[in-house]
This record gives sequence, C-alpha cells and structure tokens, in this order.
Amino acid sequence: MAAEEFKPKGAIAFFVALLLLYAVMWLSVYVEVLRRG
Amino acid sequence: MVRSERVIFGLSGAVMALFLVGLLVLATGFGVDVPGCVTEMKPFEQDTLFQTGDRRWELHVVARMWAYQMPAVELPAGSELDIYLTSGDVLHGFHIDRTNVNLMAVPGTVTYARVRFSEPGEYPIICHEYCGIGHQQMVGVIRIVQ
Amino acid sequence: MELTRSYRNLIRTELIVPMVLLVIGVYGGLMQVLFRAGVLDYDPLLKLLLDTVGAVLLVVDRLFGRETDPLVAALSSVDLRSSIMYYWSLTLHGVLNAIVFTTFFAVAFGNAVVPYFLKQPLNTRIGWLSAIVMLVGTGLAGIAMFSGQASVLYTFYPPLKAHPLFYLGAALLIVGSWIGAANWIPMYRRWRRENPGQRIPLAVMGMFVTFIVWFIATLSVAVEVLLLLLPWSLGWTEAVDVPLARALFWFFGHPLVYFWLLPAYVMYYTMLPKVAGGKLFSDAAGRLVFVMFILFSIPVGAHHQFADPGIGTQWKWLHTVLTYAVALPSLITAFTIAASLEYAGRQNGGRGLFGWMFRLPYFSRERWLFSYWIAGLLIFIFGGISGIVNASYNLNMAVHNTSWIPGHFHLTVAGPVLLAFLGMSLYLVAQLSGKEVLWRGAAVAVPYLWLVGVLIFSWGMMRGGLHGMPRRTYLGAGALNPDLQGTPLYRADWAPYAEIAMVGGIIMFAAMLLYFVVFFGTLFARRVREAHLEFPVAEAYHDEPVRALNRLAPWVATAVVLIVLSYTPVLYDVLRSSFQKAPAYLPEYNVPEKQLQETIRQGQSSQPTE
Repeated sequence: MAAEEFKPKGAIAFFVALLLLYAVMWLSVYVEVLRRG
Repeated sequence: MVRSERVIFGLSGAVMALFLVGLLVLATGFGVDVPGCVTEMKPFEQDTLFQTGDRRWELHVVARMWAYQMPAVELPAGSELDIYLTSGDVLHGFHIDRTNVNLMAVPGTVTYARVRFSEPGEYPIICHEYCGIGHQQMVGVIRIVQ
Repeated sequence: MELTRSYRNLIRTELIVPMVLLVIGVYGGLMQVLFRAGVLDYDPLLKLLLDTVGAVLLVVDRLFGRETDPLVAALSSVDLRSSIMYYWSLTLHGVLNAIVFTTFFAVAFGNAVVPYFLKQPLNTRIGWLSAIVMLVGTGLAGIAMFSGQASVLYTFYPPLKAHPLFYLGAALLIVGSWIGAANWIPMYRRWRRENPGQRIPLAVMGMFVTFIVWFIATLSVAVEVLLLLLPWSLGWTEAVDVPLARALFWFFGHPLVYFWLLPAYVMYYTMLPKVAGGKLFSDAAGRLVFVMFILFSIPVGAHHQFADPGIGTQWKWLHTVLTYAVALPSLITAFTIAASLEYAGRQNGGRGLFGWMFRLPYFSRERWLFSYWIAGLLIFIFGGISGIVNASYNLNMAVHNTSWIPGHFHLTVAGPVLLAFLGMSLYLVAQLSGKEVLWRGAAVAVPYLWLVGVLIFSWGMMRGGLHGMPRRTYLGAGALNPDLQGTPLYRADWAPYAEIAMVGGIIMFAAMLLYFVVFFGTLFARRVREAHLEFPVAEAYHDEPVRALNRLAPWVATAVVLIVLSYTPVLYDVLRSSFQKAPAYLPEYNVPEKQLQETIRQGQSSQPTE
C-alpha cells in the first residue's frame, strides 16, 4: 500500500476547540470589565 | 509550511486580531482605559476632595504605610470622580472593588483615573502591592449614597 | 560520548542542590495557602526547627561551661506569628522556586543537551566556574533571605530594601549562568567547522535561543541591581528612582518566563514525540517558533506595568500588540505537538478524529517521562489563555495584582515548566548516577496528582481574583482573619476561594512529597549500571530545511531593533514623569531607614551612662 500523507485532522480539530475555549474565556473577562465600567 | 500549518497560523492570527479590535473598542468606545503618563501634577503630600462640577469631584490620595491618607468620601450615585494618587513612601496598590480603577501608587510620580459610580453602596479600596508588615490591614472605602 | 567524572558531577550538582532548595520553597507554598485561608498563623515545623536548634545550642553551651550563645536568644525572640513571617516565606518561595531552581536547571540541561547533540565535550573547568559562581550567589542571597533581611519578595521592588548580600547574590547567580552558556560557544564553533552547511540540531538551537533571550533580558536587571539597588542598599546613594527600577525589572521580567518555557519546549519538540511513539510533525515549525521567541520575548515588558503611572497609554498599547505576537509561537507549538501526538496515536491504532488521544502512553512506567510532559501541556491550556487575558491591555484592570495573577502563573511556571524540569531532573540524575528510577508507578502518578492540585488551586485563586481578592497579601491576618469576622476589614466573600486554593495547595504539596521520595530514593539507591547519557531523539515527519531559519544573527539584530523601538519611549516617559527619588524603607517599619537609624542613635546617646 502506498504511504498516504499524514494529515493532522485531529490536531486541527483540537486546535479549533482550543481557540473556541479561549474566545469564551477571554470574552467572559471582557464582559466583566464592561460591567464594571 | 504545509497546508495545515498555514491554516493554523491564519486562524490564530485572525483570532488575535479580533481580540485586539475588541480591546480598541473597549478603550475608545466604552472608555475603559489603562493609566497613562501624568506630568502636569507633581507628587503631593496633602489629601483633598473638592467638587469640580455638577456631580463631579476631584480626589487626591496619598498612599502610606499602612493606611491611605484620604478624606472620607461619600458621594451621590451618578457621581464622577477624578482620582490623583501618589505614594508617600513605598509602592502601594489602589484597587476599588467592583470598578476598573486598578492603580499603582509609586513614590516620585502621580497617577490618575476617572471613575463613575452609578450604583449606591460601599466600595472597598484594597492595597494589593506588598508594602511591608502592615500591608494586609491597608484598606479604604468610598461610599456612594442615593 | 565519554562521560568524565567531573562532567557527571557538575550536572548532578546543578540538579541536586536546587532540588534540595526546592523542598524548602515547596514547603513554603503549603504554608502560604494555609496562612492565607486563616487556618494557620504560625509555621509548626519552623517552630520545631528553631526550638531544636536553640535547645541543642543550649546543651552544647552547658556541656562546655560557656555563656549562653547570643544566637539562642536571637532564635527564641523570633515572633513566628508576626505578619512579616508570611512575606519572609513568600520571598523564599518565589526566589528558590522561580529563580534559583529554574536557572540552575536551564544551565544543567544545556550542559547535557549541547554536548550530546553536537558530540563535543564540555569544558568542565569553565562549567565548574559557572556552577561555583551560581552557588556562591545563591548562598549569599540565601543568607540575606533566611536571616529575615530580604523579605522583599522575588521582584524586590524598591524602595523596600534588602540586605546588600541579596542583590549581590542575585547578580552572581545571573553572571554564573552567563558563564555557563558562554561555555557552549567554542563547542558550537568547533561543530560548525566540522559540519559546514548542516542544520544546527533543533535541541541545541532551542537552548541557544533560551540563553540569547536570557542574556539580553538579564542585562537590564543587572543594571537595576548593580547600578541602582546595590549601591543604594550599601548606603552609597541616598535615594533610588523607583519607576526606573520597575521599568528595568520588567524589561527582564517578561523574557524571564520564556527562559523558563523554552527548555520545556526543547523537550516537547525534540523528545516528546519519540517517547510518545511517533515523530515530530514539523522540524521547521520548531525552528520558526524559536526564531519568533528571539524576536518577541523582550519588547513586551510593559504589559506587566499596565496599572503603573508614568508610561503613556500608546506605549502600553504597542506592548500589547507585541505581546499578542509572542503568543503566536506558543499557539503554533500547541498545534505542532498535538499533530505529533496524533501521529503517534494513529501509529498506535487510534481511529477517527480523536481516537489517537486515547492511544498515548499516559500511564506507562517505561515511558514515564511522557506523563510529566503531557500533564504539563494539559495544564498549559489554561495557563495560555490566562496569560492572554493578562496581556489584554484594559482587561488587565480586572486582574492586576489580584490572586488571578498567581492563579495564572501556577498554570505556567508551576505547570508545564515545573513538570518538565522535574521529569528531566529525575531522568538525568538517574542516568548520570547509574541508577534505576525507583517506584516508577509513583513517578508516573506525580504529574497527574499535581495537575489535579494546581487546577483546583488556580481555579480558587482566579475566581477569587475576579472578586477582588489580592495577591501577595497575608489575608489570614487581615481580610480572612477569623478573629476579625464582623469587622469591616473581613471579607467573607473571599473565604470560599481561599479555601479552594488551600485544598489545591495541599494536593500540590502531596504530589511534591511523592516526587521528592522518588527523586531522593533514586539518588540514594544502589548503582546498577554504568553512568550514561542519552536522550530519546525524535525524527521529524516534515523535515525540509528552511534557510531563513538557519542563522540566528539576523533575527537577533532585528530583535535588538524592536527592543530599541519599543523601550525607548517607555524609558523616556518613565524618566520624565519621575520627579523625586525615594529613600530606603525596611518592611517592618513605616519610617525611612535613615530616620530609624537616627532615632536609634538619639536613643542611645540619651541613655544615662552606667
């Protein structure tokens, strides 16, 4: 069988999830700062 | 760079750029900003509170080991306060609870923040920079009444 | 590679001595969470120690019919319930854990990695010179700290003043580390001559970048310590420019965290993929990441001074943008490591989008190093975002100097960095001593126990911080003092968060106890083989060379330009807004030290003569 190129689909999915988590956490602090302003 | 790396780099850059735009909006649109460089006022030794306009006051605070040298502050809800802060000795912090006023009192220089109190209540002020053996007892308060 | 006795002992010394000091620093951490929550108000072990030493001295004096040693009186006069004890302990915790342990490890790791990958012997005479200078520096600073004359915390901001030995010791520790790194340059040049046109091994590139960043960064703190603080603490100058000292410190303070992270990144890129059973997804990614750290580690320090006066908002904004740039190489690392682990997991039979995550050697005793790295990476997920929040300009107003900050940095320096350093220290000490790592089950458990503890700790600290709970504050004697309940000072709303942090801290301490048992148990076990040194070296899946990433000099030059551009306006603002210098203060007194000395002198001169 010819060697197929390894495409890190799982890592990309993990990374997108990471960025989404980051956006949620960052936004929660943003909203808190807005609340206090 | 392989394709997946380009995607990742692009995504990361885009998210970070979006965040930066958000911060600019917060500063310029909503007026939440960090302290800047004050050169028009030199470090002072007197604390004071006086009215400068309709519902606008100016407060000068000298942070000292281990209490703030400041007058009693009791203002009506909706008041705006211009705060000038310096230190009479070592570094101190000045964090007004439930607001975005988060300052460092540094000897030799003056810092400034403006805050609007829309809700009545008691706003504790906490010293959050280590200033010696009495640091944990160093607090203040701003009272806002109806 | 031939391992001389001197070489082996050099690295072992540089790993073992700081590990002993880490025991003290870690114990201090336990005391801090207990003191903060108002659960303890004195350190029982310290009391036991002081009482024992005092009793021993007394007995010895009696035996030899001597006058009681004045040290006995000094020891019994220590007020263990004085609030200063908290800050004494916190200083030791910060300095021993975050400065001494980390600096020694970086040098020791470099001393192992560089000769191994370049296949060149280390000049052990210079190596020992470096180690001795670092040890002497640590000793001098240690004397100042342990004797209670340097309770100024690891940032040592003036005008709180420490004993001159503290500043001198710190300077020597740094200079010693410079010597250790300079020692690798002749090896590199020889390797270059013998291997023209070859890519520098990735691990060596990583260590060189670590110390290039370190050298530039420490120049600033060396200026602060040697030109501003040491003469002032010796009484040669009257007063010090506090804003200038802060700016110089934070020029150093941010790249310091990359000095900590980069050796861990070296392990993640060059060793982790192999131990996981796979390959490094991309060699070029590693090189790009290291180059980006050269560029962006340093011109960002003002993000630690967002709440400071005296620096214009536009420069604080500039540093924000540059800090966002330095977040990118860490994000690239997260992806590259995930891709490398995915490759390993799929080799191991993992199917589907996430199946590979379950085919990794999390609990393998043979591949026990993996647990240290993966637990660190999982913790770093939260360390990263909390750092981005800190760097986010006006968002910083919600977190500056609150307990969110230590919550953040226990997810970074006490997360991926600590675990990588602990794992590698155990690995190297065992190899270089010809010992087998004992109790591998326990060794594998440590990082996961630590992970649970630190996540709980940081959760408590970060949530508490968002409620205004401050950092660096002995709350147990203030806002969380059980005796002060009902008074305005007491903050019942902070109590649950301090208690959560305490639970986390206790679990962290338990993990460290387990680690120390494994480390010292391994160290004192019987030799079972010849001393050796080898690393699990990963192959790269994408291994194409990128010419622009092969030479460091142009990137260093660019970094210098960026630093000049980003810091000149900051220093200009700091100098023009600072109107008077500050005299020295001791933490225990609220009058300047000079005035204190005057008062004592007057008091003495007005004593009636006997």
